[in-house]
Amino acid sequence: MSIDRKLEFIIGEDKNLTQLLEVSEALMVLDGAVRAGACGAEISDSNRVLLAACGGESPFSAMRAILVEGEPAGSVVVYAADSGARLEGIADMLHAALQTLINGAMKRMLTSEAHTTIVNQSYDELLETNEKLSGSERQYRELAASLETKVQERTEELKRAYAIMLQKEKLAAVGGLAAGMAHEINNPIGFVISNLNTLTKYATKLKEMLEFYHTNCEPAIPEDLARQAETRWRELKIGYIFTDLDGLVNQSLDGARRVQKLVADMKGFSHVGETGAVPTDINLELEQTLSVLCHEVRAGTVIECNLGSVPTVRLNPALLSQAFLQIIRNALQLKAPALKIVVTTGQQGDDARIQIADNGPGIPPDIRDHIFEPFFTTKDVGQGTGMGLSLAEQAVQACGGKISITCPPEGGTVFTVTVPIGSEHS
Amino acid sequence: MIEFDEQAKKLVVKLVYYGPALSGKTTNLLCLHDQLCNEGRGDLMVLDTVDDRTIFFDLLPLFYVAPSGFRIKLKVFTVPGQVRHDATRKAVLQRADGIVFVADSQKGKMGTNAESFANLENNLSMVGLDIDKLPLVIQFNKRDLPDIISEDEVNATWGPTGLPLVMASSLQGAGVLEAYRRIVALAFDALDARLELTARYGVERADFVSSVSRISG
Repeated sequence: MSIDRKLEFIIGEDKNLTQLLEVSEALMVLDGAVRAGACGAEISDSNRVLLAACGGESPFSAMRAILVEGEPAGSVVVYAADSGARLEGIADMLHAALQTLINGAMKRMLTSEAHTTIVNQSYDELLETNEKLSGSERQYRELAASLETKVQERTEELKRAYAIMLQKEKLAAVGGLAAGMAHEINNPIGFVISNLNTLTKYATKLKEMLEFYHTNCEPAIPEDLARQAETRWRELKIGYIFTDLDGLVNQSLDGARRVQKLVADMKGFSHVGETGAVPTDINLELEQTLSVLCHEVRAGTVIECNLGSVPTVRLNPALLSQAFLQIIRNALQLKAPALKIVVTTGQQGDDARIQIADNGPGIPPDIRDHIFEPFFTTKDVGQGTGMGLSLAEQAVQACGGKISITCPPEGGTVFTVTVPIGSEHS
Repeated sequence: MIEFDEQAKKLVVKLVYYGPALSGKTTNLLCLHDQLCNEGRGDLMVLDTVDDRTIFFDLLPLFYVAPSGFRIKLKVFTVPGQVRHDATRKAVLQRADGIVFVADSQKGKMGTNAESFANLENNLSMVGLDIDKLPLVIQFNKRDLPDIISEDEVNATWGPTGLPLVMASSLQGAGVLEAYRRIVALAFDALDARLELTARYGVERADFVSSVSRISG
């Protein structure tokens, strides 16, 4: 609504005689003067321009000024055959009639002016109000329409945030446990290994000494005693012990070393005390993850690792190994008769690519879009939380990477994780 | 101003009598019409009224011709005071050069006075006029009535605004001419500052003010 538009019509604008006097009406009044006995009559404006005339001129005339708002705006002239009271009377009457006509027109114009202005204004105001109302109506409609979607989005976000929080807490707990265990187990296993080594040496010495006696001293002692020694040697199966001792100790050492490695892998896997992005060896992370999962590998399951050369990537290793853990664990739980899991790593363009393939039943197309959704599971109630793959996706995304699945026609499922090598995400 | 035509040497000025319903705006104009010399003033035009209440406005035209031939026409309007005629008030206010705010002195009318003044402020801003720059005179009318607030109270309330205050009784003719003269003078000053009426068109302030407020008889 502009001020200019309103100012098109200003109450109180000056009017001239032509605007106020209709020629047809003026002529009727002039005609009345002629019928009253005048020879003729005429009206002119302030510039002496003739506006209306009736009858003819004659030598005798009388003039009256026409006023508009008190100011002279023109004049009326009456012609008669002779001068005198009759001429003046007609002039006065004609003047009064015209002046009444003009004043009436003036009033009419002023009221219609005011009316037009008011109507225009009200119309403009209504338009403005209408515009505002439709604007806010539109806003509310949009709000109502998007509310449901917004609620859904927020719920999803909350679910994800909750899942991440849960996982982080779990990770921290596992990490704490792993760190404590590593500390508690490392020391005893350290001296067990050390002592076992020493024991091997001692055993070798004892064996050597015993054999020395057996071969060199026994012939020198009395026959009876030698026979007794021979019997005892056999009874105690010393010969067998000699052959079995090395294997026994080596097996124990091997076991102890495996415990040591597991503890170290668990500590490494949980990345206790590590936050943010660090240069990470993806292959090492995979090996540690597999090691941690070894107790979940059922008999008959084959895990094949084709680890290619992958450059070190700057990322948060805890997150990545979480993703690996979830994907591999998911594969390990498949109910396939001769389960085979193939882990392949390599570089593809600017990305490090990790593929985890299984020979399971594959994922039906109708649920493929849902498997990364939180709480989505096809397992029996109580068997799966539905969080695993969702967490894997979250973790990979947090590393700046992508996760996707394909189900090749020959069967099985392939999870592909790609992480940009130049990635600086944490 | 309504119109300024430099070539025709003509200026049309608008003055508006504003105020609450029944405060005596039309009475002010009737009184002016009676008091002012009919030479140089037109007839008071009272547009349609209902039960003696203004529904459009009243108009009193006055005119002045400077020795230089420059003509100034003064159109004095009233507005309808009733709340429901707000659109008409706004329409009449457009391009006003000066306002006489006619307040009702009766006790108990201070609320309606204040409401009307707030309405004036609001409407002026809606038609693009700045109340701080527009010439404005406050007239406290009906001083002849018995139950009115004292002049001291009026001064205490309105004095701080710095606006010219006039005590009036428009029915008896007191204070009407004074308020009118003051608004004419103030409006002239404002127009002179913008158009240099004295310097360029030879319009003298004193001559103009006395000419358009010459009393009859």
